[in-house]
Amino acid sequence: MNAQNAGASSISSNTLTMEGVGLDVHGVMLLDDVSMRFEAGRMTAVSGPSGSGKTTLLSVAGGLLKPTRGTASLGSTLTWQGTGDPPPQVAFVLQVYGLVPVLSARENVALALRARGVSLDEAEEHADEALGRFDLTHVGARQVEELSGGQMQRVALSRALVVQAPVVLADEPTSELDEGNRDRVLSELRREADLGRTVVIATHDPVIVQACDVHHALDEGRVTTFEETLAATRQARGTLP
Amino acid sequence: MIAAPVDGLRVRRGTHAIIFAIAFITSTGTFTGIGVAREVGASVPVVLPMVMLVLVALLSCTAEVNRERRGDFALMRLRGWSSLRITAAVLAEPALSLTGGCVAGLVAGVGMLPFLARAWLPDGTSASVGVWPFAAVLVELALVAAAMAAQVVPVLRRPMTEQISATERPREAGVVSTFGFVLVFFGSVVGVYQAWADPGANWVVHATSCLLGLAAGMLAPWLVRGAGAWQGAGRRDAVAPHLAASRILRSSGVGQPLMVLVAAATVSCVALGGVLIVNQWAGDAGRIANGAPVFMRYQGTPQQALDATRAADPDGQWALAGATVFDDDRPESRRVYLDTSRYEDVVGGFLDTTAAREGSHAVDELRETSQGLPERPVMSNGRWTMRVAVNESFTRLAELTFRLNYVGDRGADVAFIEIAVPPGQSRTKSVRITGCDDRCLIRSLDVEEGRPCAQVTKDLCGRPKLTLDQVEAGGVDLTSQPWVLEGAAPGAAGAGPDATDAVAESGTLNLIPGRLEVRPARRGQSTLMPPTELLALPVLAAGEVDWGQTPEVKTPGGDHRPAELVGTYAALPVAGAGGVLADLATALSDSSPAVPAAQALILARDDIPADVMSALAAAGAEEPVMPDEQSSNISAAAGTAGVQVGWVVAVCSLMVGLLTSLVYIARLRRAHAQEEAVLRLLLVPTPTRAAANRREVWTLAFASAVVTCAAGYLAVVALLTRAELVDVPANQPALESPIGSTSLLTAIALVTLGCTLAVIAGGFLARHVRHDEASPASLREGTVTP
Ligand SMILES: Nc1ncnc2c1ncn2[C@@H]1O[C@H](COP(=O)(O)OP(=O)(O)OP(=O)(O)O)[C@@H](O)[C@H]1O
Ligand SMILES: [Mg+2]
Repeated sequence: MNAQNAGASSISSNTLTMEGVGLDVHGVMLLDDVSMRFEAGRMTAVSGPSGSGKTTLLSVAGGLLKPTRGTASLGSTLTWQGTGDPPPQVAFVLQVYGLVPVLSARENVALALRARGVSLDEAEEHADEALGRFDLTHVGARQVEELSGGQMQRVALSRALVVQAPVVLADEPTSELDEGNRDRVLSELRREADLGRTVVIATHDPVIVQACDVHHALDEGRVTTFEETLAATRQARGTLP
Repeated sequence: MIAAPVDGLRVRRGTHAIIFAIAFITSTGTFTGIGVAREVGASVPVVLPMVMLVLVALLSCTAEVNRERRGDFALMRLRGWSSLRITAAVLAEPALSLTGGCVAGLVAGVGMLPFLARAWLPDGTSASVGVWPFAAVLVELALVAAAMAAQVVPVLRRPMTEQISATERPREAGVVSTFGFVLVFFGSVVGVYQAWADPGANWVVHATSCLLGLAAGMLAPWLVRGAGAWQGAGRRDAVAPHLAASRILRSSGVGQPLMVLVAAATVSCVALGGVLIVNQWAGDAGRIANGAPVFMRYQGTPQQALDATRAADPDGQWALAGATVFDDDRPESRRVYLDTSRYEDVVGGFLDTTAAREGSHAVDELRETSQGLPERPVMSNGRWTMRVAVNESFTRLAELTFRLNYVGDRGADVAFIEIAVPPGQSRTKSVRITGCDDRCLIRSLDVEEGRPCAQVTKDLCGRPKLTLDQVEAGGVDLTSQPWVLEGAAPGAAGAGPDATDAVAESGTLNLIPGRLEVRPARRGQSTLMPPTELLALPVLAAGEVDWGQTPEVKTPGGDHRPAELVGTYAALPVAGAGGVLADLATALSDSSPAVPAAQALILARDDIPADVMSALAAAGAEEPVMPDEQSSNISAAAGTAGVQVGWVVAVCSLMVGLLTSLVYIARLRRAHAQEEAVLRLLLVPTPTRAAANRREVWTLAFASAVVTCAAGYLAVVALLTRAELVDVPANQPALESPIGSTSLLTAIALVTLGCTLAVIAGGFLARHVRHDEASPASLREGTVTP
């Protein structure tokens, strides 16, 4: 379990910075002069109406898309690696889950570890643990095609957290969940932040926004609001599990 | 009303192009196939398996179209369209591509028919565009339309939630598909049973070949899964094998295309196997009829042909002489004579691949037997001298006539000695022997005394006992020859004076060194013959030769000779599957001049030097005939033109199978691009992903090769070997289709190879996605995985 902790040594190197990021696809500005800092140890919410560019922003931040202008960097290195593959320090929870349909829930989670060189037994053990964090132990052996949307979403979360990457980018991770499960997800993400990881959540759920430390609002690819909800959150945290 | 389907054609142009192509290929194939088959009166059902296959293929294509359109259908239902309107909307789109393909196919068929007819039909027959091929294509179109209409039912009935959901979940097999499954299995079992119970029912064979293919195709996914499990077994710790195994074991994507592909392969195996086996049969029959690489009729007698080959090719390396006398179609009336001493050098292993293999090898035994015959005394020109004594107890003057029958320069010849001898006395007489400039062989010696005996006076007809103590003819001492009395009971030769009545009836003969003691038969005449083993002509026989009481064979001159049967074989060179074969020189050595029906011939190697060839031509050899020419004559007689339609069926079926797989490849490719993107998001290394793809494709290829090969083999064994492919002409070797025959194995191997290559190509095509197509950033809304 060395690869997955890459970059965890220094807190500042886990800060994800976007400076003047613009993304122009076929002449349409999907992102326009976006500058943000996602700091380690904090939960950052990115909100905005549908089509405002949240998914696009996370893709640029996580190195899946190359910004046409500006830079997205993790510490001092650019997240865009030239291939469209994310850097190893970043773990995604995709809005579309992105599970491998022919694998079981446990195999999907374990695959993320095994891709990073972890042995089969160790990977399966950690996978079960990660599924347990989202109350999914009982569906571990099921092929993901047979799971409900909410279950798939939680499998995607388990898979992102199991690698213990310094940066977690979660795109609407609670869209399919009931309240109980949503709170559970929030507390798990908070645990990650408390371990010094950078957690970014794209959402249009005000409850989630409130649960985060920092909030950026987007509209039509531009940053409209930036607020520290830290104080409010600290209060709220007492009520959260 | 027309705008919507046209839009649909544009949006789903890939799938529709394939439907168009399948319709095009099938209608061309059906049209030309039936056009050619009807022209030669061949069995029309030969196109049946193709039609059945196309039905399945087109249905799976239109099912795919309906799958892609299921969102549209949901909308139509939400808008409250009537069932009729939805049905029309469902059918209109594929109907356009289907009809278009059919019409274009018909036009192409009309254009191609003359060319195929020229290639396959016997010269002089030309295929005319009749009403039948059109009717067949229309029936086919109607069948597809009816089946497509049945596909509307699930569109109308399927739960709306499923229809509108972007993710498609695996569906349980419905009642209809389970019924289809059972029907196909049951149908193929019944078909195979029927083919065995009633061999020659060609339409059963053809129809079942498709059913059997479909059944095998339905089993194929299980085998593929088995192969997947096997290749991943014990390799869970390595990512690539595990991924490949999971894909193969759990993905439902390959089942349908594999089923159609395997069915197509099976149909192709049977169709192609039929063509190849018939062509091989015709080729073999042509080789056998030709006897050697080169066959030449010879203008002259068999003896002249023999002399010509010996003069032009003294070493006996290149050419051998022969003769045929084919009186009628009964095997005993078909006689072939070959110069067996040269057979090994000239013909050698030429017939080793044919049914005449054993027969051809036996020619050497025939040569040995013919050469090992005891020497017969050879008579030359000179005098024939006889001294005859009559027994004392005879009561009257013995009036004797001796006839010496021999074969010489003039063919069968005879010399007479007439002599009257009183009882108890002896007389000598001598005549000239002519016609033995070359040599003469003695056939028999007739001994006649007095008048022929009438039935009433039979008891009064005593015959004298003659002692011939000096009989010499043309240098041969006849008293020292081993004579037998023709028609005498065995043992009569040694009969003493107390001979029974029966012996008196047939006469007696005593061979005593230095003299012959003969008592002619009571009727007045006896014939002394050399013993059978001296006269016998060794022969090989093929087919059901009716020998009668004792085997007898005629020489090229039509003389009857006892036959010594060396062996009976399935087929013999030149004679085919019915006839007898003897050594030419042996048969000529004691033969009257050849009968007019005897056709002299020369067999030669194909590398015969030009000077030898021209020497033979100068001596009277006609134009060389090659085995191919004999084959096409035999083909024409057997009506193999109809079988050639199998080419159309084989090629069209394979193409339909491949095209159908293409429809699915497009879908598999989309799914794969997403999966690849996910793997990249998880940082699965490129070599691991490539290895998983490779393993998956190779496993699929291996499994489909096994299924195709097994299904093809099964279909060929269970069906093709039971079909009556041609009417075998008289005395041609039987058309056997042993599974070991190279034609069948070639057909199965070719088809398996084709399908396996197609699976490999298709697999890599589906797996080969551009880097940016499979980028993790492409995993957005609307492209939900799973
Ligand atoms: N590959 C692309 N090419 C062109 N336009 C794109 C592409 N991907 C996204 N867009 C557009 O970019 C805009 C932002 O999309 P994005 O998916 O980031 O929105 P979002 O905020 O995540 O919306 P939602 O809340 O619905 O998920 C949208 O208008 C979308 O149509
Ligand atoms: Mg989004």
